[in-house]
Amino acid sequence: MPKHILHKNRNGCALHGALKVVNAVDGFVPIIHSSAGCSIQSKLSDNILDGSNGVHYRGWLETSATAIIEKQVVFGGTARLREQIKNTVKIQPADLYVVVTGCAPEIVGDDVPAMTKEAQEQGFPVINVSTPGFKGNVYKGYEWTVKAIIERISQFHLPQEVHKGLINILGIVPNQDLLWEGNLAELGKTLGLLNLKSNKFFGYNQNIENWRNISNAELNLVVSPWGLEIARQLEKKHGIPYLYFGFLPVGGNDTSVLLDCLAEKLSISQELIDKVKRNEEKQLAYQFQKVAQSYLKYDFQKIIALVGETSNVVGVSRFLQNSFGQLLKTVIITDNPEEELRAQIIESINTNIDFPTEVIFSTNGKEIDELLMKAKPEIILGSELERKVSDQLAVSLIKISSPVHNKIFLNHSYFGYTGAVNLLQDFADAVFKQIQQSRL
Amino acid sequence: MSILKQKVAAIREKRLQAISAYYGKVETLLQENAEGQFVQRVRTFSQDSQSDILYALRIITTIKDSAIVVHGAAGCAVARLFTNLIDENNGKWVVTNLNERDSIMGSDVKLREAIRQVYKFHIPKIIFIISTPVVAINNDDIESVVEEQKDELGIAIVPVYSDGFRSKIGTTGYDLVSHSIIKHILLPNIAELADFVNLISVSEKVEDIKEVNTLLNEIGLKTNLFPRYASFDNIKKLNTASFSVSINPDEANYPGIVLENRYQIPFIHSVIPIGINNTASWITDIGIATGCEAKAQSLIHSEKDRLNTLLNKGRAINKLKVFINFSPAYAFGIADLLEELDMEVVGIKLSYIDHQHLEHLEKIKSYKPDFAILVGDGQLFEEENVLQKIKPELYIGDSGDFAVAIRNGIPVVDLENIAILGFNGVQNLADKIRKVLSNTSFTQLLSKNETKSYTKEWLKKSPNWFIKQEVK
Repeated sequence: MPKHILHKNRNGCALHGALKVVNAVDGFVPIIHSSAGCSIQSKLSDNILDGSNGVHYRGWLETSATAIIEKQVVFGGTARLREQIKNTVKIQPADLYVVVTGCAPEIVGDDVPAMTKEAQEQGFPVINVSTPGFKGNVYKGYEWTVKAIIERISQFHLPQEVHKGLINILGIVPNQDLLWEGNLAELGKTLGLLNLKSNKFFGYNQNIENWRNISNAELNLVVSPWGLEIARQLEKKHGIPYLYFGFLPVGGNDTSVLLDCLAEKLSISQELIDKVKRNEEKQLAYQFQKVAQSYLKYDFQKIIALVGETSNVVGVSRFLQNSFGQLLKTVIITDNPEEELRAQIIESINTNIDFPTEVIFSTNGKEIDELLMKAKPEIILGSELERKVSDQLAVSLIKISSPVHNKIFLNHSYFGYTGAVNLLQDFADAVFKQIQQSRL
Repeated sequence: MSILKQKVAAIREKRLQAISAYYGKVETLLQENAEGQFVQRVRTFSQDSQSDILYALRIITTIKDSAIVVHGAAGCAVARLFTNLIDENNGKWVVTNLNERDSIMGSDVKLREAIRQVYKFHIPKIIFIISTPVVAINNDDIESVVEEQKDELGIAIVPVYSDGFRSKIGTTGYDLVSHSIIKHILLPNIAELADFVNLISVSEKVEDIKEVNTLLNEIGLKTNLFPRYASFDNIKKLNTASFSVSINPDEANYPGIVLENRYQIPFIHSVIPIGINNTASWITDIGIATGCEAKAQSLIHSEKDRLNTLLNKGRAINKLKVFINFSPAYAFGIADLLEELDMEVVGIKLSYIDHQHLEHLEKIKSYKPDFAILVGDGQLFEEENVLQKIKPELYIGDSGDFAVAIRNGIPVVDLENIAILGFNGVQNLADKIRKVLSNTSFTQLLSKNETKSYTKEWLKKSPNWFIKQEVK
């Protein structure tokens, strides 16, 4: 099957990634330079159930956009963009305006940088990112936009000194990762246990101050393939070392490994690390005990398939396999990580010699459906796109990746010690739902 | 000449003088019309709005036995993810996933491959091809691939030439779909007439379609649904109907006219059946045209009696000041209904307006000469400005557009959740309004949030500050 045609495409484009980034920062405002409808497509591809635009209490139809028409496609749209920027700064107050460009003006060749430069010369904080859909997916859009914002901010704000214990969290794509806000919150809490301060950049109370502090961090913690390039840029320009963990750990084992890795990079007393690990693991073990009887009586051990982006899927897979006795048949990674990172991802998932796991990288819905049908899992963890197969196999579907249109996530997370408890809860719900359905 | 000779449906700006940017008295619009046509205005600040691509997808996803090829960059297909949950064609879509090279070199090879794949995997009776900006700008040849594949696969292939930038009125996307379906699936000959009417539904909810269908059945008419939720068989039968009947006259207008133009099927182009009197007029118009007038009158009579006894029960809702935000036919229909409930419409926002609405404008002018209307799709910055000035007590609107109302503490009735059409719709809306007003604590809570959406300077300005006459 030729690779380029995508069945049931689940990932939005670079422009969508850019919008998700800008909308998730309090005080950042996007300006779309494209034909109409791009922001609506973006919204329909992820968390439409949350009717706002990221963290602003701003409706999802309130995005400044040039919505260019035929005349501007034929004769160029820079004048229209100039006018839109000039008026956006009058209407929508912001600390930073980010012009994101769609396919039409990119093909036509509008000189967008000239327009933002003009606005900058007038004293307005406006930057632009080139994000046509034909150049990259939503994850690339995240990477390019974060890099562009950092570049702008570091022009004005050189690092004065390293803030001891300040950690930048990189790689969580807001809104594309359904659990982003909960993941960031939980990660922040866990770092807090080690007396570290987290710089999350996105979500509640995250604003330009957090971005200004980016170059003062002691360490960059990278929890998905999509933060790696950003971390490399920060190392090169500001000399900040990074820890590439590559995924969000779930449960005692991996979370404790993360703490050890942090201890190695930072000066944290071994005594504190041991104390935190002991406390948290003990609490988790307590919850495990409570689930044990049901686990046996209702046969919680299942053959599992997972579908979703690297950051969540690797951690959840490893927890299910290494701590919860699950048999991982197939894991499908849908965010299209760079080739150089793939061997490591496969290695981190396929760890059970007695029950090997097939790890596949695909964004093609048809291929994913076929792999799942072949694997015949007893529980699927994935997106709403896997609903059809889960119905056909009459198995439960636990939602861990976009798109999902019938569950609101708020602060839900599977990260860390407490995330594992959430996962146990959702897993048990899924098993009982299946039992109930088979009775009918 | 047949309208269908054209490759694509004319945009609504050209065909109906539709406009999508206006704020002010209706008198000005009527004056402009008297002098020739509505003046096209543009916004020098705008917010994102619906495109023809989104509207086209919205109908096509409901058409049975079909599969979709979105021809463009991958992002243009993700709106499909949302409709995937609710439509008939769960999972039957592909995107040609054009990259930078394709945007320069052309993409017919990928289109051909996509059509073949979607056929091989789903064996649909119809394949729709949705064109997008990249393809439209490069003027990629879709037509010849379609012709070639039609011959090879022996099924209907329907190209929908949406592009995202020709029209500012998203509803144009609906017209594009009807145009292409009739042009590419139906033969031009006039067939033998059958004893049913085409019920033209473009965007109605399932519950609303059921209500309308029941009314038509009760006066003795059988229906053939098109284009929403149509099957391949529904489409094949279109040219054998004895009449075409509109539900929403704005949206049904194009398919109704095309069928009349090509097959001489009389198009009953009535008011939207919202409210007691409008529903009665709608049934009467259809009854007279189809010879079912006696049954129509007896149905109206019994339904009116039933409603009169039901409507006045419960909390008093009369004299309430209401703001309406909807597409035009719906908005005017709801305004009439609210009048029947003795409520006061203090503001109207329409996603667009065109020459089909002159009568409504005349009516507003005669009752309230100073009444200002806002015309815009989305454009919530203007809506917030207006709402803060007129301070309505209730907001009735379409899902997604009401963020502004809520943060200003105005209770919202979202029509997405209720069937509004027909006699039952009157009761449904009255019940819903009573229910919403019986506990507004959540709205009050949300209105306490601090919002920084717009500057104070803007909210003090006139709502039409950024609406300018286009420089030619």
